[in-house]
Amino acid sequence: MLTFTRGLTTGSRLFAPDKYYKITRYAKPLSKVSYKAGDVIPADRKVSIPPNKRHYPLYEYETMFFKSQNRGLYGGLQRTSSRTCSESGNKNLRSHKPNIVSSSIYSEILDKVFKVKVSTRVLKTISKEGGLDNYLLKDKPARIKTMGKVAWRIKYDIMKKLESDSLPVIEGKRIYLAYKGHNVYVGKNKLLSYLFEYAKRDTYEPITESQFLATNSWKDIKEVCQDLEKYSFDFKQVSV
Amino acid sequence: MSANGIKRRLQKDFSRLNKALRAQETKSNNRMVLPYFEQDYDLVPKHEQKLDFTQVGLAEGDLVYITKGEHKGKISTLFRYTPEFDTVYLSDVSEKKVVPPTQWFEQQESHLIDYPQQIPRDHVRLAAKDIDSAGKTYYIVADAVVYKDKYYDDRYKQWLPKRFVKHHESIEVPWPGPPTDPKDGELSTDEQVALEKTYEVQSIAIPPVPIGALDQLRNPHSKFKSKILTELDARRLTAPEMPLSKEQKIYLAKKAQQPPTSVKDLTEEMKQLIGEKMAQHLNQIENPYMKIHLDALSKNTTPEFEKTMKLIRETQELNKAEEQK
Repeated sequence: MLTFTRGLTTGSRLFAPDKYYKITRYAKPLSKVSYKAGDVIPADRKVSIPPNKRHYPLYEYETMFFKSQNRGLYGGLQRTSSRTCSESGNKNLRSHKPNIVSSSIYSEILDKVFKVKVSTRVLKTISKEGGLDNYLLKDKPARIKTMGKVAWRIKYDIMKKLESDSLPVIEGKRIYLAYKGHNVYVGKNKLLSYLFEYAKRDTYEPITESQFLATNSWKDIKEVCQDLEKYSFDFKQVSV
Repeated sequence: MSANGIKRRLQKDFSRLNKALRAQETKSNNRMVLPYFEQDYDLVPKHEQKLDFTQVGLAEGDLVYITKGEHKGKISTLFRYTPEFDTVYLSDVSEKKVVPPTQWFEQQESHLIDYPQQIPRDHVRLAAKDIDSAGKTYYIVADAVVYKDKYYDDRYKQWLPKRFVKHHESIEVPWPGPPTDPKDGELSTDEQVALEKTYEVQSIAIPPVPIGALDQLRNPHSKFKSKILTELDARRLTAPEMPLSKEQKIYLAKKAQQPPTSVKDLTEEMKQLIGEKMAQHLNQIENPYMKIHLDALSKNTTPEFEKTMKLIRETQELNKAEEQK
């Protein structure tokens, strides 16, 4: 026998207060438009092209208030206010700032010491988690919302290091790319220097290395290999 | 910020104030000014100023009729319109002004001089003079004018709308002649020289300027042109993505293996139960208007319901196809 219940809003998550509402509400808005070569940007839309390549992913929860929290590990702590009350009953507003200390924190994975401003609460959390790496690598949404922009960037460095460390090693050499049966053990920059030797012979007018890099440095390692293959490059000298 | 920028920020900008604040400001300014030099008229903000005489409806040389003030009923010719105050100067209407001796001009003997009086634009109406069949002159005053058609006026060297009296649109009031004939100055070019054509396009198939020279004539980096992104621009605009963690990769791989969610159709038992419950409820309703309302409501379809029904139909078809195999 079936029974009907009206489980609509009672005890619903709809009314659960968002703990980090202030951060999510007042975060710096990001444009999520993906651009490709050949896209037309009309004159009335202003898109400023950054002078250099972006090195870090955009942080979604960069706050627009109490901006020092973007420059340190504050753990979502902000300025709060309360009223003081004198004996005669006069009330005045006062502020409470989080307890911030500047501290040197060691990252085991990067083998590097970061001198940052940290709230004492975050220091406690870091020791509880067992180091900066564990603190940053935790994937819970609350951690990501409260870590701040600086921590987000350190996290990216750590993730990249982990990614490169996980690359396979053959004959004592780290393999950056498996390209058509060749295990390439040199990095992108080395491959670009090989490509430049071909490219400067390929043009009628001579080109400098900086001119070459301006149009090729943004390519990833696979694209450089594809370009080298067009010049029938011998991959044996860079692969095992 | 430059010193000039700071100065501009601290200066009081009349055009940014609202009407009430402007009035307050002029009042406070007038306190320290001699009574004859007071500013009587409200300053019109720059974006509201009418700079074209077709917007004003009056041109220099027009006859106007004064509807308000001490000169009410007078007909006079307009010789200047001031867009800053939205006022007009008329040829016969003047007022006495006191001039301090330091500002006297030559052969002046009295403190008082006749000075053309400013009259608000709202206080004057367009007038026109004509002669009737008996040879008598008479005046027409237009409360409002309407524009119709366009013609090329050789005196103004521009296209002008024709002016008619509103609601009496058979009466046309032509624009007066331009105020003064332009005189040649040092830097002026002769009209014939300016209009002379030294080159004429022979064919639209062949461009007059070679395509290679276009970039030198035009600004290829102009901010008013739409920009086509190069590969480098696009790569600069896109930030790298945060790599996925091991746990995230495992989760996504598991999710990809899961079959897509399928929605099943209601069984006969379920349908019967829902139908019974609804019938039981509906049979209790006696109000005829409520019944009509519910009848109309039952014809409406909600998009969400349509979506789920579509999903059910699709899954049913898939199931049937699998059974046949």
